[in-house]
Amino acid sequence: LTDEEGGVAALFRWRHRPVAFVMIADLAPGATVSPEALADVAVTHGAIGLVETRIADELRAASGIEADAPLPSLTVAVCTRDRADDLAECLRSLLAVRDATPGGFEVLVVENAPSNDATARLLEPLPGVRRCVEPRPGLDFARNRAVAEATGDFVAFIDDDVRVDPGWYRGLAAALADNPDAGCVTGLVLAAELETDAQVLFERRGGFRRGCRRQRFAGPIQPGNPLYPAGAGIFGAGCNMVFRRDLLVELGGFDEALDTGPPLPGGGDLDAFYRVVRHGAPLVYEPAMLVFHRHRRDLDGLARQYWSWGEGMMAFVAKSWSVDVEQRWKLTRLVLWWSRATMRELARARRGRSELPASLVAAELRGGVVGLMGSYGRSRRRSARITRGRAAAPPGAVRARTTS
Amino acid sequence: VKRAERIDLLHVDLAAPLPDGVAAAHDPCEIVFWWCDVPFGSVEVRPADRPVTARRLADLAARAVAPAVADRVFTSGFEQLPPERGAAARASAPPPLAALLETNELLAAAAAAVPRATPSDAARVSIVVCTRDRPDALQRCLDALRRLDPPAREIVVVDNASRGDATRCVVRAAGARYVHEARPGLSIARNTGIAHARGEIIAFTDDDATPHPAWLARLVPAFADPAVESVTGLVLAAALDSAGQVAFERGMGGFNRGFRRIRYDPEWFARTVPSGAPVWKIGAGANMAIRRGAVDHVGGYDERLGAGAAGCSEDSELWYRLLTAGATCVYEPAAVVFHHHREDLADVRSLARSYSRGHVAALFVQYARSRHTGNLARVAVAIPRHYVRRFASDVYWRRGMSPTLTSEMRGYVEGLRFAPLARSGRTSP
Repeated sequence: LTDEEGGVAALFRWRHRPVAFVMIADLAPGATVSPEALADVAVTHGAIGLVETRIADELRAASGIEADAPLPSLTVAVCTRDRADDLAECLRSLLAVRDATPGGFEVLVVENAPSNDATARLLEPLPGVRRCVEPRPGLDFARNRAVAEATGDFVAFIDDDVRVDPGWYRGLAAALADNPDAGCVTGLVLAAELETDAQVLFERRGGFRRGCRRQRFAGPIQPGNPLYPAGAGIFGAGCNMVFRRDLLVELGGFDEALDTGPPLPGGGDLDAFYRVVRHGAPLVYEPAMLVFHRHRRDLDGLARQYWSWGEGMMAFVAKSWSVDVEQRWKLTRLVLWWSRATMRELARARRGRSELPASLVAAELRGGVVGLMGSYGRSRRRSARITRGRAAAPPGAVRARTTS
Repeated sequence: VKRAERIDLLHVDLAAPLPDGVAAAHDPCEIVFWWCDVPFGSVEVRPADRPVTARRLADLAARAVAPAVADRVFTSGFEQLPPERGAAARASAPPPLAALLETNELLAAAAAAVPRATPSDAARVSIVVCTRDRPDALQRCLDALRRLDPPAREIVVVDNASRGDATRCVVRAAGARYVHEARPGLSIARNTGIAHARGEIIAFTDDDATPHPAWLARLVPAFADPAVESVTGLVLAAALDSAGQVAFERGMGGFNRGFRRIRYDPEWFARTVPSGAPVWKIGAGANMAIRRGAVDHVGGYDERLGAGAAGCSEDSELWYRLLTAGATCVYEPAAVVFHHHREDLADVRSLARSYSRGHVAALFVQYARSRHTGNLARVAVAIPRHYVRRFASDVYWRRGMSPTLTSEMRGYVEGLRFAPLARSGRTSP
């Protein structure tokens, strides 16, 4: 460690597959972490995961099953807006993966209401990168544009502030080979850097991680999780997700009233995951499909992030409550559970018993209340104004009416 | 949300190549994973996850068997601790990284690490089966016992007040010893079996069970430790074809205690006694063995408990006495017995009722003998709280009421009538 560093975050892998992610905090500046200490940490957190992975390898080998598998055609879409520096790093990692993949895949950059030509100039010299412009501002406008433009059978969405791991594609291919019926695959998201207190805090509190075990979500219920599928946060994160393209088209794409930047900054990914699962298509979380995300560096940015989670989550709940009558009772219990958990967390934070400052928890709570108080309706009217005359019904509404 | 009416039960031997496309039908299914004759784990596959390709089976199997495989291969870090609050803090240190990386063929190594009794060890064992008016089921059980490898010294069948002559004929034809016990009651019959058995270890199974051929071979080695006075094994459902069988296995929890060894020692007992030691989790009377010397020391089954008397729990009350006396009990899941659950839901409901009733009666008896007030706390607080929580959670999450819950609650109330047992003396009957 250098004198500025106070801890280590370690990702342990077995043959590229993530087995455990551990953060060792509160080390003395300049300290050395010995290989023995690292091995101790690895077995403490990853022993059973390692055994599982090795047994799976043995069983596959004994039955002559290849771990790697070919994949139907893929388009990777990066939606971006005026962040040429971030995008450059994102594309560098993504193109390296593409060039190492036999057959490659399509890379599509969707510029969302750009204010200058920096992104265009960045893309010009890059070989084999398609660019298109979506003039209506809003992430889900851009995502739907990507769905319309993509040529692959599967469409991946990655954010412009992530770096793609070299094993990303292999992880996706393995997940789809094992789950050929999957409608959506989400992946592991780890911190790209842990330079500031805000970034460390965010990752320590779980960040975007959903564990190092593959999970399959299918069917109307999940044993042990009565809130499924309403508690859509378990499914993954929007900065690293892949959909079967024809399924997205059938479902009407992303809800353009969500993820609109400042007015309603989130919920579009949750809404899409939820509708995929409600449609009956399995959703798979695949940790080997790994990206590294640059978290917000300052606490103010982190507070906005927490706010947007609260608001995005509850806007998604409010929307689903109005269109998916069958699941209302579960959504109501989700709100009750979330309010209780967040208020308890706030009480703990006030007494200094939480890692989170009370201001962040309060931000999430306020965001959630705003989300429940009609932000989805306001945002929908606004996005309809932007679209001027496009269909006003949100995606998902038609199906919900026919099933209920 | 509807509860499953039937569940397909599949057994997959991981020593053979993985089958492709198992479970193509539409009922939920349960897959038990074996390596040759040792079971290592199970997984439930719901209709939305069917059919299961060989690729996904590899994943499901690896996750299901990893804890039990690691427990057999590595000396520490993966053991299953007996049930108690705050047990995680007592977990042992994981094995060194080098050991985890260098051991190959983990499943084969795990199976090889499971001890197997020699014929001379097995010859120390008498098997006791108590039965009453179920000649067909008994025939099936005795057929399975004849396939045991290595065989026991003897098989003693106690005919507990059967009406006809059919039971005697079945036993004679199978070449087992026939003992008649006219006084009805499972505890009485078992004690009679112990009195007639000549082995130094007595193993029990039920007439509605079929032991695996390796049952005895896997059950006996745990007795090599002189502190161990009783060993229990894994009871798997033989079939889950009807609502009654599913309700027994899922709703009431069945008899399956998992795929890792568990050691119930006097230290664990001392820690859990204040809140009522959960001894009924040690195992089931359909798959247990005990040393004759232990019976001589603490007494046999309590004849006020068990089927035909208060209901059940005569087995766990005996374990309670053993643990009080400082003995150790071991759960060894490699010793497998398949149990044929009752098919009729009405039968399962009456069974649930007698189980609850017998459980409460056993708690009173345990208190009378030991003066451990945790048993009374369980009767007065923990059990009613458990029923209220289960009921409230079923209603809140719209699961539909558990099919046996009202029967269990009625059994509990009936069990309270056995309260005078708590004032009986400390002596064994």
